[in-house]
Amino acid sequence: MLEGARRCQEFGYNPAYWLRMISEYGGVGAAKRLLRGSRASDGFTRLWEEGRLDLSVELYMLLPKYRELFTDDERAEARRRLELYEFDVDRGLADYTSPAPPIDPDSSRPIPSAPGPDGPEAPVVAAVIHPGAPDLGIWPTADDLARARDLFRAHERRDVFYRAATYLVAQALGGVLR
Amino acid sequence: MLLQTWNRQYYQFHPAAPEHFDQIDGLLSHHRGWLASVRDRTIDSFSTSDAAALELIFPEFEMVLGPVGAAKALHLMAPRLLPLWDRAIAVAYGLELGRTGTNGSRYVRHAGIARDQSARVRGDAAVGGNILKALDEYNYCRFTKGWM
Repeated sequence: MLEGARRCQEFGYNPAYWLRMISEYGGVGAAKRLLRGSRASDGFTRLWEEGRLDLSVELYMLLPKYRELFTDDERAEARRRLELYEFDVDRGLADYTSPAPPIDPDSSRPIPSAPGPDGPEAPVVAAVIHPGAPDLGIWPTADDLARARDLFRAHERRDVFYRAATYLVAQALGGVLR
Repeated sequence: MLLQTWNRQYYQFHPAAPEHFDQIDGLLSHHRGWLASVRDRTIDSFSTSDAAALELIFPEFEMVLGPVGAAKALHLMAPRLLPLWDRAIAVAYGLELGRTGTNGSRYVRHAGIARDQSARVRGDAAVGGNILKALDEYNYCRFTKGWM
């Protein structure tokens, strides 16, 4: 959504109100609030005038990767608004291209893409660590991890808080998240 | 109270008012479905759709708890999928933290790195427990404290 807002500036539109909403409520919260209004927002209308409803938050809400973040009703309302302004939603969704393939830090070859709609998804791999980059301690061995564990337990009382927190959360979530 | 103790550096500068805990409750309630879906997942399964969701959800937690506290809270919700970090660790991985509310993509990349680190040592089996906890201990000893 922030990327969409940035691209708006390419044609001279600064969605300042929308950015403030993201800052205040987060991307998902802002989108949901925007949808509660009885009519399309000024920003939506501006994007329609520019012929750029492909950058609207309503279209972002319909992207498959964000499906779990919004209810069926919210996505239906987002689609309704877009179609009301004669935007071809299905084509707009199809035009969104996949992100660049992730890079395997072990080599320069790209990781194979997902095998298909029923197969596992392509993994997310760090793009900040490039093949051939010097080892600055970011690839610990099992021995490194064991040594760190000893050091950590010898120096850090806060491990007690961690264990207490994980235990209590597990107990509490047994009834909340299931 | 546990978060206040564990995340004390944040609360030192952001005293917690009653509404702060309402905000945390609100976040947990709002994202209950997603949190339940990732609760028992492991880092080796971290995928592109996880990244997309997390990039939006993390800033919401970050606005309430700060970037380090957000990772702690999310880690507690899904301790084998969502990693821990602090500012020193983020810098060590080339992910220097930005303004609060803008670190979602950095956290996603941190999770991607943790996934690869885990794969290299063969995951939980290498440490006899949660690989993400072991990686955090390593990062903390090496990059935060400089003990290694």
